[in-house]
Amino acid sequence: MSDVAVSPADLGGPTDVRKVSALSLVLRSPGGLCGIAILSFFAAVAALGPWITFGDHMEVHYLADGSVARLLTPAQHGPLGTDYYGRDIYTQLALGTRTALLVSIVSTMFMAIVGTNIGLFAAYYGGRIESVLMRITDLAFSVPFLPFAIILVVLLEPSLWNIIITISCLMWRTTARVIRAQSLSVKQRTYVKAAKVAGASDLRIIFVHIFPNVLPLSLLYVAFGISWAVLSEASLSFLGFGDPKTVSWGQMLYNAYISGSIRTAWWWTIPPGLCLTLFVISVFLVGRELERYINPKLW
Amino acid sequence: MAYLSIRDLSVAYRSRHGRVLAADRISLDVEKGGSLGLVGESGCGKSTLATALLGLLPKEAEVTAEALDLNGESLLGISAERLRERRWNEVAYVPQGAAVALSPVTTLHRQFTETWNAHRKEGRDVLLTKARELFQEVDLDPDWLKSFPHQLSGGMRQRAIIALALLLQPELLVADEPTTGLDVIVQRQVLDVLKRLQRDHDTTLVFVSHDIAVVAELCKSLAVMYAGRIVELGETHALLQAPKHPYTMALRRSFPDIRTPERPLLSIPGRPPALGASATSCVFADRCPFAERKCRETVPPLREVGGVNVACHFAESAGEMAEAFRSEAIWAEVKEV
Amino acid sequence: MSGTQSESILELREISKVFGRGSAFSGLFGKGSSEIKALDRVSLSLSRGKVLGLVGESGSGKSTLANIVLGLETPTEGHLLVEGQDLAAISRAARRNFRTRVQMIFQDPHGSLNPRFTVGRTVGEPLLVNGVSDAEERQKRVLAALEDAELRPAEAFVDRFPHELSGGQRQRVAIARAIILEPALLVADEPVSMLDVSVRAGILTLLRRLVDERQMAMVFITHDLSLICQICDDVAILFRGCLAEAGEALSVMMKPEHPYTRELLAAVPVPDPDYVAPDRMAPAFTTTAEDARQGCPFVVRCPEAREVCRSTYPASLELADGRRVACHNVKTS
Repeated sequence: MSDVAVSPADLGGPTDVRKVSALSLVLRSPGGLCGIAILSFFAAVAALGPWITFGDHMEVHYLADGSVARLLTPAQHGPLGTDYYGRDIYTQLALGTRTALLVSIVSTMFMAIVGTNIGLFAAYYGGRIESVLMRITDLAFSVPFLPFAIILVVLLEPSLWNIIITISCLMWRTTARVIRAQSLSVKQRTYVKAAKVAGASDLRIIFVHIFPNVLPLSLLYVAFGISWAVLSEASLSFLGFGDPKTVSWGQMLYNAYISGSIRTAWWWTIPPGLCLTLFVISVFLVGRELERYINPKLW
Repeated sequence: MAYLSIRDLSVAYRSRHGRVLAADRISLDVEKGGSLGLVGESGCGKSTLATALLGLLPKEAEVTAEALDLNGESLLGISAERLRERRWNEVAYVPQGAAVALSPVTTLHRQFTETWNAHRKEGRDVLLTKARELFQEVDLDPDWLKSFPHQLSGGMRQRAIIALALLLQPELLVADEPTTGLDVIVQRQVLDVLKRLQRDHDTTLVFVSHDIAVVAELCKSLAVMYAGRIVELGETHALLQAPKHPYTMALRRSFPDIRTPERPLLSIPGRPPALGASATSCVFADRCPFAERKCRETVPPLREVGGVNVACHFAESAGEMAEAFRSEAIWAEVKEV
Repeated sequence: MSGTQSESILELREISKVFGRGSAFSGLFGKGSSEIKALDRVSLSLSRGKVLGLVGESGSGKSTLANIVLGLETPTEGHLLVEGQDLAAISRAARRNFRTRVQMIFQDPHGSLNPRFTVGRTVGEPLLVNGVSDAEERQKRVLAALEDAELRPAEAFVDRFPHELSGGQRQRVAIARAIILEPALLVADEPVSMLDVSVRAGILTLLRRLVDERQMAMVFITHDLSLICQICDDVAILFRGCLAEAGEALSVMMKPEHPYTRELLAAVPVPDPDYVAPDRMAPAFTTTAEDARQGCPFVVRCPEAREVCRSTYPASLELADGRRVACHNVKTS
């Protein structure tokens, strides 16, 4: 304990909040608990997918007279009715959860891995390596999302994976900056110099001594990245750049829009809109609790 | 009546890990123009005590005291407005780490002006002359007033803070480790400034430090603190020449004295007790080689023995204890905790 | 290595270090001329079993010197010899081995231990990164090192985390980490200045015992002159990158020859309220930056400076007691 000041923390022995695990802290607050519950529900729906839905989401349902079962209300068909093309909305919605999770998990993983590594290496090596890496990051920052995404999707072809690539290409930039800033401060700690004196290699110092200290922050950005990725996919799909073969919440809204029934068929538009909102809110709730865990002084 | 008078002052912090008693029934007096050094190791409560004098303790702190009087007026239960008024006008504070105590974005002159405006309504015209005088007093070129804090070296900043603290001519200056982290040469400059203040302006000084050499050179009386309590209190000379408390004896021998550079230093095994509830035994008993049953069962009160105030049941046999201290073997019985 | 040479653990020959030259970015901001001379022709030597105190204010170059000795920075000029081997002359692989010969103890016992590592992992890390892959052997050596750093019983400490230890115990863990590779030289940077007074002596005694028993050498960096005689055999006083005075510790402290050493000694606080510090004497001249560059670096503050001090750099003189002083006012006789 330093000699300089007596603060309550100094006197109370170990006050490090981090000894509590992140998950238990998140679960302890009502908001965090709520977020986790909603996310678990979405995850369960995605995992069970085909077993809880009725056939293929592209399957067109017909009425008894042989005409397409267009725009049936929930009262007339299934739990959520049908769309303009006679497809089951509940099935689309449930399978859309899979798309949402796939997009968010893959692109945030890419974001976390690329962004964290760029930040770590830039901060640790400094000098020319840092300049080059951070200029690339600045470049990525200068790219506006939607025009870039539209061009890329048009150039490639509208498929789910291309959307994921597009989102990933732009998401790592924030992580890289934040992780670099944090790593710069961790790098100054004496134990990093101690490891260097002991003969530890650069990679060991980066991944064994610095990385664990920036990992929580990296996770926080993953949490916020998830909702950003889902919303981006929804926007692109809504604008018509989605993958026509897969179903997603954004795609559903797009279909409702182009069929001209976005204002009338509430059972078609409200469910995907609500799912998107709930998903983003729950991710935010969890992220907020994570932030409280990582940076307790803010609260 | 003493200028500063404290009776049974306790300060407790509430944290999520329970209650921590940082200062436990502290009583002391400081005469006007006197100087008191608070010494002790980390966590002994010296900074808490100093901060309590300024009413600057955090909200979580629970302060209880029979009396906490400054210049005959209590500091307890007074309004925030009155406290703010008395602070800086009567009591000024020199913190450690001058780097953070000055705002980095405004000139020193501006900071002097702001401090003045916050407390005085008139006399802005004399401010500049006054600030220049104060700078001279702390051995700084008055032209530095125009500069930003980062343009000054660490020692210069520390002296600028002292000048700022003196702006409203406080009667009491509370300095909390103002020289910690400074080089010897710079530390000497700061000490010289503080010494001159006491001599020329009759400023009362409460000086907190872990460095006994610094405190002892500067202060006429000393309070040795351990685990939230004062274990020995008295005139510096008497206290260092013939300490009555075993902790003071040990402390006296654990810091070097430049006049006797070869004298071996002593290390005290063990560590201070956790500061939980109010003490029920002598706080030093666990580390004391002379501790007996009585020491673990009753709290020794601070009482006068041979000219100093000491909280030890066996203060009368201080001479024998001091003799025993000459042997290193004395510590063999105290286990490392 | 011959027998006589191996007695010398560390030798610095005219080491200079200039910062701000040749950096790729200094040109970019037009700061081409802002060179900082952190060390200027410093020569020192340290033999087996000895402790050298390195004293100076902040900015005196002591940290740069430590970094050079540790191999973390390369000198701009001059030679660094560790156990008789010139660092500049050896291969890359040998340099890696050299790193293990010099280890460091840091000032801040809180910051120098990774809070996520157990004591055992911290102390064992130097072994792990230097090719001791057998976990059992590592564990054995970790326990021995902890034991040697007086953390007993060692088994009780290996699984603890830094926050569970007191400042003194943490510093002992740092010491165990520094000695586990059995280095020839320890660099200790103010190892007790952040510790409570009551545990300082224990750490100093431990360091001295380790140096004596293991026949290492140690560079002990401090600004607290009163500690010098507690642990050091020799002392070297640095002023703005230049060696002002170097010699046997007690004789330098008792009879300082360089005016800067005298100023340092006079500045040390004395635990006596009646003590009157000697008045600081004003510098003999008002000087310019140019004077300090050309002549003695201390001329800017020296009360005893003469005209010659402004124009000529004082040569290092060796006195009868073996001490070296760089001052025009000191005569050999």
